[in-house]
Amino acid sequence: MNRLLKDIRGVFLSVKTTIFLLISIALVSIVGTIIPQQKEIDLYINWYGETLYHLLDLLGFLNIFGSWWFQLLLVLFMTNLVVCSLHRVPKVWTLRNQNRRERIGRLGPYVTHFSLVIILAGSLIGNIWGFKGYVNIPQGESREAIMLNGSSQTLDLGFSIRCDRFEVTYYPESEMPKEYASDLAIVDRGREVFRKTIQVNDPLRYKGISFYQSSYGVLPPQPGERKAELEIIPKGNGSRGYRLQIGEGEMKEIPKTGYSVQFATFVPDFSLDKENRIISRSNQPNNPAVQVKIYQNGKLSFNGWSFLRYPDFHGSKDDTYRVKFLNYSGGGKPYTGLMVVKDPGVWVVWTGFGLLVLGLYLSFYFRRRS
Amino acid sequence: MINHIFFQLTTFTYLLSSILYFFYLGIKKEGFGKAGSWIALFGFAINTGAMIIRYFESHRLGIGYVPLSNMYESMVFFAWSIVGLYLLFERFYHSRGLGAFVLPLGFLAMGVTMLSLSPEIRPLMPALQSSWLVYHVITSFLGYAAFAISFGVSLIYLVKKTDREGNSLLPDYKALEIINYKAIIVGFLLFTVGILTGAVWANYAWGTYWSWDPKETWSLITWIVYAILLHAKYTGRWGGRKMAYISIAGFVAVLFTYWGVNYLISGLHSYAS
Repeated sequence: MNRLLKDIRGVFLSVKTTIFLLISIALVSIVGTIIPQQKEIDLYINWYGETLYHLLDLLGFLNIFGSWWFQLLLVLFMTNLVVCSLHRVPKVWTLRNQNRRERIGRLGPYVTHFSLVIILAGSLIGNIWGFKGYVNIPQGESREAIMLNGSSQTLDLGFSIRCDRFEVTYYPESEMPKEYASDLAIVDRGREVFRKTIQVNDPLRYKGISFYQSSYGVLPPQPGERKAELEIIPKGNGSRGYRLQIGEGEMKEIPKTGYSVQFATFVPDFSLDKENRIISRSNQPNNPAVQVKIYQNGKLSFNGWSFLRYPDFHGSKDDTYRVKFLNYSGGGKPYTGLMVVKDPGVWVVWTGFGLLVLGLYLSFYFRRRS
Repeated sequence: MINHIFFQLTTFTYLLSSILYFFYLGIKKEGFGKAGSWIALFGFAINTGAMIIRYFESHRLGIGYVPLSNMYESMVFFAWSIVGLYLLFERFYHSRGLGAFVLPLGFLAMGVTMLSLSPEIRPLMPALQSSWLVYHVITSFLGYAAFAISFGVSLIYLVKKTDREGNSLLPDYKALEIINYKAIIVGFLLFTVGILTGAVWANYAWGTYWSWDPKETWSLITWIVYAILLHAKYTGRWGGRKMAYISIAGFVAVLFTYWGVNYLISGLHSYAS
């Protein structure tokens, strides 16, 4: 028995084992980037066919980095690191007669290898005691529970989180979003305890749980709920614009002019298809537009599109009027999509990162000069 | 776009410098080597200036970012890092012969960029607006550049004839091994910092520091290749030629991490194309 233990220790002490494990991890990782991981079953069957799909699935090749044998490889690698480091400790203590610089240099590899153990320990802590999930909160509402990733389970947070406002800002004259932002508030035992405007790259943290801005969307609107705010500017004679609030489908008469304005249609994401027909590219308010018709004594005299984000763009050949689309409401409530993460191991991982850089620095720049 | 014109000029200067270094090796006249170095330094200055101009041009467009955010910008920074690091090595090791193998890499990086990538300055999506991105790109690409130098040195090691009959302007085997090792430790340290700052950034942007997306996985594979090389070196079991082959394999992994993943495999980093 003792002999067997010694043999096993011998295997873990060998640098050949280290290199074998490193090469195995690298090769398996290559496979993991060639076969797309954790996709939908239909896609796999489409790519590989039914038989091959079942085989790959059975072997864990469709979720390599979460498979038991990949985890085993990592554990073996860790064991190898720990055994090698412990074995060489007595040697380091006998190097007393060397100068200070050389002794610091000798520490380098230990710090480096130890840091890798720390990083993996940190990720293990996160896997065991942490969670990842998400929650969608409509503007003005609160949520107390979140959905966990990769399962249909919900998790009670023990406090509630409220979204007061969600906003997308765009670069000027561009369709590229500049920032997604949500005003969030934490309500714990009936009291509002914390407020923060979160953005991508700037999450909110409360009681060890982080809330990341990750997506957004719009709930489908209730019929007849949408209202637009328009400014009608008659061309010529320098007259000032007339502002009005108008519901979708509604017709309103402008006093003392004999003109009537109709809010004909609304699209949240205005675009043209190949045949130049107007379509909405998505349900998201990326390019909200309204079609407005203006009647003079019952006869159509203006028919054109106006854009919320391009107030100076005229979508109409008729130049009797200019219609500015100022704002709209009731077009379906926007919601913010938050990623919710608890990772108690993250500080352990950061510590490991620091030690890794320190260890490499010591190894490379305090080595004995040859 | 004034910056693009200056980058084109940079490309031309790196080509000129490469040719001068070739002549230096072939004709063995000191003057060609000196001219190659000075032209390389001149190109490096233009490259630096062009990046600064691009920074100001992005601000003038109302976008305003550090120009290290798309493929075009990373490539010109890659070329800058290769030439800058090479000039440092040349100063320290007093060997101009290496230039004939390294400057062409700087020229290739610039040439490919000028021919195939859009110089347009586009607004940054929200996830890319982070100072961690800047640290991540700077350290990663300085690391890549050091690996590029190791690649060039290893090529020389393999094509060189024996010390006695080979080109007298190229360093001897021993010196090449030392330069290769120095380039790799500089590269390994910087590349490690690059991976770690990338992980910190991912944690701020996506709530997870490691998600095994193809870019991350390939950076780990590259890291492992160089880790194996360093261990083989410390245990002293592999000779110079074998080390040269692994250095080249390491640089192939670098190139795959940098381009292969973007163009052949998609993932979180696919916006960087």
